[in-house]
Amino acid sequence: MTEQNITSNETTVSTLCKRCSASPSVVNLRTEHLCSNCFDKYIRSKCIKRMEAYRVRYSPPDTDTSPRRLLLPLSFGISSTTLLHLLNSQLQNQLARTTRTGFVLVVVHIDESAIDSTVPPGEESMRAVQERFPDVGEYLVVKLEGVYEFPSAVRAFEMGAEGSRGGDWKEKLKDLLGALPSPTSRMDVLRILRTRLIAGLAQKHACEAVLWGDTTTRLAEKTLAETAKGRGFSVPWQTSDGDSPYGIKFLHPLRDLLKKELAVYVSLEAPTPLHPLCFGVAKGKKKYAAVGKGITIDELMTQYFEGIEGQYPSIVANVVRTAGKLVTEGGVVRIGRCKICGLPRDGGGGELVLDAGTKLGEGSSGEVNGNGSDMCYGCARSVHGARPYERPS
Amino acid sequence: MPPALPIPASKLCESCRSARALISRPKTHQKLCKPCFLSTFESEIHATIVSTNLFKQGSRVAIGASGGKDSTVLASVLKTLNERYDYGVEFVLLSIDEGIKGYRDDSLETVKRNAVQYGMELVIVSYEELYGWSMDSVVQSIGKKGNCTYCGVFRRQALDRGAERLGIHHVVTGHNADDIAETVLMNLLRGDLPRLHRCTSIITSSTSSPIARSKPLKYAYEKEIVLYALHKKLDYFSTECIYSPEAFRGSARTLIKALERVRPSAILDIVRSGEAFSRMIPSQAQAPGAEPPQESGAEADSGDGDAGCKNGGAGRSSGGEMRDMERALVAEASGLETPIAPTPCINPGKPKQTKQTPKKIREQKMSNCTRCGYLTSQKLCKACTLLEGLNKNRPKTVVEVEVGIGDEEVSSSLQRGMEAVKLAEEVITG
Repeated sequence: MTEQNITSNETTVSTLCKRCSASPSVVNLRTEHLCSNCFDKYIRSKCIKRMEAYRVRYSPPDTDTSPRRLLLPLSFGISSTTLLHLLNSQLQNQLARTTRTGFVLVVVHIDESAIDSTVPPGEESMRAVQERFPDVGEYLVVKLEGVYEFPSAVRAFEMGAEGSRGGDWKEKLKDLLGALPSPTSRMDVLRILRTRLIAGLAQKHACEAVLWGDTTTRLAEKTLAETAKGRGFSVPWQTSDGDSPYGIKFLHPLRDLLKKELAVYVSLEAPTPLHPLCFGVAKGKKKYAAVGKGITIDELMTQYFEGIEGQYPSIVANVVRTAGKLVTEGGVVRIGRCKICGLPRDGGGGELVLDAGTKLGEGSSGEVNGNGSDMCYGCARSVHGARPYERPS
Repeated sequence: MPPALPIPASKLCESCRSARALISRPKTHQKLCKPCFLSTFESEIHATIVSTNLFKQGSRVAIGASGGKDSTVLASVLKTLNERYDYGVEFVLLSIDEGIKGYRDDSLETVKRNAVQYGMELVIVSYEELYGWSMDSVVQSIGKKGNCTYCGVFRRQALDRGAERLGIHHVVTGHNADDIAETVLMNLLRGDLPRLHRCTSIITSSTSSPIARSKPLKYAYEKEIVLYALHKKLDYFSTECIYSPEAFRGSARTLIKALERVRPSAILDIVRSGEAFSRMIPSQAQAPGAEPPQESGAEADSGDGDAGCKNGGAGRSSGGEMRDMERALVAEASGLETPIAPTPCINPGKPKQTKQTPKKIREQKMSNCTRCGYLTSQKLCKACTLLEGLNKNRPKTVVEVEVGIGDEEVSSSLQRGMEAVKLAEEVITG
C-alpha cells in the first residue's frame, strides 16, 4: 500500500513543521510536513499569486478608483467557500494597508431547488456566509430557472417545440431536463445552463470576470470528462484563465491546489473554521458510493481523480498542464458557435455518424432530431435521443 | 422523426423491421437482426476506408495477423469488402512470432488456418531469427517486469522488416476504437503531446519508418468485433499473453470500460475528442523530439498504439507506470522550485486565438543504424540498443539459430531465411 501524499497527521508520531521547524506538523503535504500556520500560508500564497492582477494599484489622483467587480459563484462546496474565505482575507489586508481594495465581489448562489428538492434553501445558507464575510461586496441568490431571463442562453434549448413567450420558468426547466435521455445528458446540460446563467449574471452586474473555485483536481476532471463526452475541442475554453466564449473573463484562483488539500484545509479548526459553512460534503460521499446505473460521466471522472490525487498528485497537475498547452481551434477556423453551449464549434469531423440508422456518408454529425447542424459534437451527443417535449401554452 | 415510444412487446429489428432483433449493438444499443448487424458493421468499416482513401487500386497491403479476434475480423472483413466493392488490393497476412511457447505458437496455427480460409499468402517473421532472442529467453534474462517494452520495440521493427521483405509499404492492424480511446486517455494522463497529436490518425507514417500503418477498425467497438466474429463463426485464438499478468487491469483500460458502461458512445466520443486534440496541439509540440517523454527512451514506442501489444503492458498504463511517472514529475518539479519562494507548478495557457507561429521544430536527422541498417535518429536503433543490453548478460555459448522454413514458397522462404541468419549473426557478433 502506497503511502498517501496528503493526510492529516493526527494518528502518527508528531514531527516538526518543515518550514518553521517550531510547531508540530498537522499536515503531510506533497512530501512536506507543515504546521497549521504554514499550511495556511501555503494555501493563501497559491491563491494570492493568481490574483496579482487585482491588487491595489497606485494610480494618479484623478483616475477613476472604483474597485473592479468580480463575480464569485458560491455553491457552498469546499472549493467556493474556501475561495470566498481567502478573498475576504485578501480584501481585509488590502484595506488595512491602503484603505482601498483592488476589487469587490458579487457573490452569487444558484438555487437549484427546482430540480433537486434535497438542497437546503439558498437564502438561509447565504445569510450564514454573509454574517461571516460581511464586507466583501454584494450577495445574491438566484434560482436556476432564472436562466430564462437571458434569452440567448435558452433559446437553443427549445428542442422540437415552439418556444412560447412567457409561461412558468420552473416548469419549463423541469420539462427541458426531463426530456433528456440519460443522467449524463442531464448533468451535462445542467452544467451548461448553470455556466450560462452565471456568465449572464456577471454581465448584468457589470463584472469583468467570474472567479471559479476549481481546483487542479477539478480541472483535470473536467478535461477528461469533456474528452469522454466528445467535447475535446472545448478543453482549453473550460480549463484556462482568460477570455471565455461568453464575453467575460473566467479565472480559477485555486487552480494550483488539490481538492484534497482544500478538504484538509476546511477541516482544520485554526486559524478559522470553515466547515460549518459547507454542505454537500457528506452528501458528496453518499452520492459517489455506488458505481451504479445512475452514475454520470462527470461523477465517474470525479471518482477517478479523487482516487488518483492521493497517490499521484503530479499526474493530476500534469493533466491540467497538458490541457493548458492545447490551442483552441477557434483561432484558426471560425466556424460558428454551438447553439447550446455557446462554444466555437469543432470543425468538420464528418466521419463520425451519430445515428447508425443514417445512411453512411450522407448524414452529417449535426443532423440530430432535425435540429440542423448548429451544435457541437458533444451537445449533439447529449441531446441525441431526446424526445421533443410538449408544453401547454 | 420522433423516436418510437418503447413498447415492451416490440422485438423487431430496427433496420429492416421484418426480422426478430437478436443483437443489441454495443455502440448504439440499436436492436438489430443478425444479417443487419453484420451488414451494418461491414458498411461502417467500408465507409471509413472510402472516406479516408485508405487503399489504392493494384496495391499490396499486409494485414498484421496475430490470430486474435481483432486481426481475424479485420482479415475477414477486408476480404469481404475487397470482393464486394472491388478495392483491387492484394492482401497478405504478416505475422510476428515473439517466441512465447503455449501462446504464440498456438495462435500462429490459427493464422495458418486463416490463410487457407481466406486464400491469402502468409509470412511469419520471428524475433528469434531477427534478434537471436525469443521473448521466452528475454523473460528468462530480465524477468517479467519491463519485458513488454522489449516486445513492443521488437515488434514494431519486425513488422517493418516483414513488410519490406514483401515489397509492401502499407500494413493494416486490428486496432479498434477501444484501443484508440484508451491511447487518447493515456496520452492525456501522461501529458504526451506528440503522441496525442498522432494517435488518432487512421493512417500513420513517420520519419522513423518507411512503412505506413493504418487502422481500418478505428471506429469499431471491441464488443462488436467479438459479436461479428461470433456470428460469422470466425476461427480465432483468444488466450491473452502469458507475460502480461496485468492484462485488462491497466488504469486507462479500466476507466474506458467504466465509461462505456455509463454511456456506450463514450468510446467513440473520446476518439472524436482525440481527433480534435490532434488539431489543437501547437506546431512546435508535434514532433516526437520536441517533448522528451517522461519515461526512458526505451519505452518510446508505447502509447502510439501502432505497435503496442493489445494484451497490456507496453501499450497500456498500469499502476506501476503511474508510480514511475509520478516520481519523474516530482523530480522535475523539485528541480524547478526554490524552497524560499515556491513557484506554481502549473502555467495555464490562455486559449490562443492568434495564428500559430512558424514552426520551430528541432529537426531530427534520420540515418541508418550502424549495426542493422534500420532507420533511426541515433547511432543505434532502439532494438539494437536493447539487444546490446541483453547480449551483455547472455552466457557465451554457441548460438544455434533455427530458421523455420515457411510452409509455402520454399525457395523464397529459404532465401529469406538465409538473409535472416546473416542478419542474426551480425547482430550477435556486432
